[in-house]
Amino acid sequence: MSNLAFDRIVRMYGEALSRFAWGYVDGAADHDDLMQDILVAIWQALPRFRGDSSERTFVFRIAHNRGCSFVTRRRHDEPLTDTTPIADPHPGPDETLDEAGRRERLARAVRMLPEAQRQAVLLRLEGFSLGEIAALQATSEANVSVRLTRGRDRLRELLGGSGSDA
Amino acid sequence: MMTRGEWVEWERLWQSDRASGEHIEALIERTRRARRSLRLLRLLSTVIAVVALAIVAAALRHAGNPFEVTLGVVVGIGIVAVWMMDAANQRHATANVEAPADEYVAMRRVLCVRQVRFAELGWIVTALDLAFLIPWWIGGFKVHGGGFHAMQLLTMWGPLTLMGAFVWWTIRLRRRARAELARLVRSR
Repeated sequence: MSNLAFDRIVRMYGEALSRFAWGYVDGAADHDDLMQDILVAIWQALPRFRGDSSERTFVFRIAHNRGCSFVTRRRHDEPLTDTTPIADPHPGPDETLDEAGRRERLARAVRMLPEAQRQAVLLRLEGFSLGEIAALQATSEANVSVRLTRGRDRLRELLGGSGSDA
Repeated sequence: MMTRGEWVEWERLWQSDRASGEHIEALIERTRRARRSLRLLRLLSTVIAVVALAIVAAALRHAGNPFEVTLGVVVGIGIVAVWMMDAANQRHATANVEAPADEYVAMRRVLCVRQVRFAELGWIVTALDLAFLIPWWIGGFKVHGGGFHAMQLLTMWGPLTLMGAFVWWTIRLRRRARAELARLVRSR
């Protein structure tokens, strides 16, 4: 495949993919590794892109699949022990809720959602329509709507308030 | 009911994380390096298979009886089979990555099973390879003497190191594949 096509895709979706990856991992090193994994997978899959779905759907499906695989493999490599801290999305007493802090809390809460809900919520946060999410998840819009509603309720619960406090 | 304002606020907050142009260019460059490393790894696996076959071919020239000849041919076929299986697994690992999540998970399960089988086949072929090469090495000691001279390094210590590295790698590969498989089955 042409390097130009790949470079164009990374320039077009790289920023969104970088945010999307934060929905699966919480450390900068893991984030970099996952981004590389996603981009290599896109490069390998691009020759098979026939336009059956939109390019954006194609790219984000790959990102979700690789994100889930990465988490599954990483869980085995680094098993949780009794002393492993679990990220709590509720703010600590000293946590300053600036924009970056609120965004990090939102990402932590998103990472705690079940897989299908997480994918739907991440895509919603990236501005995908119900129809696009349904096409990407190979399911009905009604099902996506249920996933988003449950995801939103869980996010509210995890964030301990309304969305504006996220 | 969806609370639209809530989503809009979360969406705005989420998308306020902006990557710089330099970061995107660095990602492109990093991916190029990763692609080169992948090509290099594939080349390396072919080189290792060719070296293993060359060692077997060299030992076959000194085979003393039909049993040793048969064993050598079986080992050669086994090495080719292991190499082809590895190449097929590498192709399989990149297939269907753009499929819906359920299909992709099914493909990963199949891949994990194939990786476990690959590791086990690799151990069988390595054991047969050792059974075939050890008499040749013993004969070599008698003719060329022991120690670490070039011939010994090339025909014995080198292959032994390669076999050790291969077994160590396949143990890790099998352990990871089994763990991933268990997680995928549990998450069904």
